[in-house]
Amino acid sequence: MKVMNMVQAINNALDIKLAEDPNVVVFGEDVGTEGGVFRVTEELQQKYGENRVFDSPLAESAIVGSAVGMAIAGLRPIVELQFCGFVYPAFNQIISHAARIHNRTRGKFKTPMVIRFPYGGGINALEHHSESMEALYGHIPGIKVVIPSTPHDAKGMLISAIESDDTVIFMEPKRIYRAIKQEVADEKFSIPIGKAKVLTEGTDITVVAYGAMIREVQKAMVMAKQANISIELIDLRSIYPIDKDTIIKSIQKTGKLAIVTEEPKTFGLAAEITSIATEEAFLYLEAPPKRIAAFDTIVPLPRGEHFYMQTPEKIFYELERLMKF
Amino acid sequence: MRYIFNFPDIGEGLDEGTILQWYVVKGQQIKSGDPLVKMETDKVVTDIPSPKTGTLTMVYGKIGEVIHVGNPLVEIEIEGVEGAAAVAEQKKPEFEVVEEKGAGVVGTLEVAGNNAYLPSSDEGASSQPAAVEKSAKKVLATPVARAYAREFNVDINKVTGTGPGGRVMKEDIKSYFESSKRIEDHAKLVPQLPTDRITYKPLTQIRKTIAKNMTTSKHTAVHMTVHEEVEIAELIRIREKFKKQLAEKEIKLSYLPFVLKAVALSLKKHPTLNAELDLEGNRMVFKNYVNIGIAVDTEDGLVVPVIRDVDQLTIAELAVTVMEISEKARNRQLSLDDMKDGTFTVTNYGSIGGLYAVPVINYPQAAILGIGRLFEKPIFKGTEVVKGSFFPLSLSVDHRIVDGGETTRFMNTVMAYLNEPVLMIIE
Repeated sequence: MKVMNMVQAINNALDIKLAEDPNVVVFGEDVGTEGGVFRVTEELQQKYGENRVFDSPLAESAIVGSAVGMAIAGLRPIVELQFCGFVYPAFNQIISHAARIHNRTRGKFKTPMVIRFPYGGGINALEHHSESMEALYGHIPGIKVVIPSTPHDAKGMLISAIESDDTVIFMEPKRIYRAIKQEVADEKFSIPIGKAKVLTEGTDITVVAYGAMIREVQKAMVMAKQANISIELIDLRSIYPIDKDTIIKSIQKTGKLAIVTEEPKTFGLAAEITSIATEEAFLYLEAPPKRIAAFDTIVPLPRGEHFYMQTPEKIFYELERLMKF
Repeated sequence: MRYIFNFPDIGEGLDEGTILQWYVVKGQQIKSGDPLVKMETDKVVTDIPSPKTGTLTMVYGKIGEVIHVGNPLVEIEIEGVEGAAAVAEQKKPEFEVVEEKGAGVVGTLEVAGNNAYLPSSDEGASSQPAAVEKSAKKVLATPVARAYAREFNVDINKVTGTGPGGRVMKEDIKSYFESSKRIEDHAKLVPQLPTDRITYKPLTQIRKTIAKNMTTSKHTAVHMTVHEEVEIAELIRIREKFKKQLAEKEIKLSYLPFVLKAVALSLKKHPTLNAELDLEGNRMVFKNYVNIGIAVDTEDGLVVPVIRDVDQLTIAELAVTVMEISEKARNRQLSLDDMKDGTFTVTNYGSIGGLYAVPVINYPQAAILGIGRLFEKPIFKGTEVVKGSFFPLSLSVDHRIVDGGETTRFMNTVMAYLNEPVLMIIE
């Protein structure tokens, strides 16, 4: 066991897979010499050489496009896109190729690749670095989307993502890249994609969250505890496939649901989870599901960001209202 | 510039210390590195040195007091530029937010403190303990029903659902509300009565059974009752004659064995009163045996043990059986077998002093005969008025099975036997 933050845990997972599988390659902007803009790929090039870990041109469509080609040819590429706001040039490659080559070739070819990128706000960065657009990816048939919230999960889920025969969008909550440390096993282990995790058992309200919001909900739960509100916290972890069973089972117990996300509220993942609740646990609901999500605006510049982010106080306020419904 | 020196974390996981000794006093000049205070923590006793040079303007805490990590120990007035810098230094936020060298090109990443670890996880390890499942106790209901329950101030989780899959429907809430209101109303009523005037006793099993059977009988059988008086001078004479004789054998001879015998023989002549109605089978069920139940009054309530094949027993045998069975009933020793298969019932309320009654049939039997107390009245014998002794008889029949004519004929037969008991032997 070693104490690691999420950056180190992801680096460790890449290290393990690079060592174990000669088909694994890592590339992207500045991932080689520099070790990545957030130092996630630090020292991997030194260890595995320029043929396995290398820098790419500043062209996201080319990065993802060439990864699709490599994957079809039998490699297992892991690409890093520097920020969530830089993914959009690669959208055609993601939707039109990565997500549907397997289907289009009637199963003849597959695209086992991982697209990693940091997402989310709370670090006083610019708007196109700070957004939380997981619903866009979750809506694309043919790919998987995951978001870890701890170093342990990040390592185990990345290993699963690399070993998956589908393309996996691996979104990294950069706000907690270094904010959380945890003892993580040295050896290889994997956490299955598609399984949410009940972090805290409770009886009054089910709260579904993921990524950096887990920590904010946990802070709100300290206040909730004082107010005698028992929260069952579910870390969704996998955006798609989404773990309906865990969510429904919890709602059947608590009767109330809140979803805490950084994303703009309208058409978001929180809306999807609300639909799951009403479609499959309708008769158990004692209050309308509550979306605790951001405004339908571009993420504000650093000075106004705190208006946009979910804070423990805001979350607690909504939970208290839900309790009184 | 004033510098506030907070009690520092001098060891891992430390959160408080006890002041053992102050080396300084307020107003004193101190140099950086001079010992300020001797503190005792969980782990060590140690001297805390001053971080700055200056004048002590404030000293917090007396000897023996506990100071928490992060709370102020002393305030030091510092001269000049160094002072300003020192103040700036202590404005650092609670958790360390630093942009590590080369950690990122944009923004400010929060960095976890050295002692702030998330608990480790063993998920993904080869073996994991199975999650314990808890049972849900919440009901199923639509939002409409939940709103409805709220309107009536009903806790929906207490309502039993009758809808699809046990779903609580609006009707369920309404009936729950009404019944709980009734209970509430009743609860309001009861305390108004002085508690010494009413005593509540739970129903005994025997009382429940009686209630159920009586209700079934009255709801099912169509009762018709006829009353008669039978002159029994001869019966009295015979009984007196044999009473002593049997008493020597410790047999108590009452009138009941005679009545039973008379009834048994009459039933043989009028079998519809010994029959049963089988509506489902669309038929009458005639029983070719005569088992007569005797209603016995006990402390717990009425029981009806059955004497089998009464028509084949002698008066003496009947006397013995009646004694035995009554004894058994009073001692609560009757078995279920003792009480089943009756075809007719005799109830002798006359022994307690009753005269006439409208007996309730022991369903599904066809009839029940009640005997009142022996009474006397003047009668004509020819032209003379003499003393007459009578038994009042009340016979209830199920009119679905037995008509009035047959009822009267049966009654006449019974009366003939009781009026002239010798007939019972002769026929």
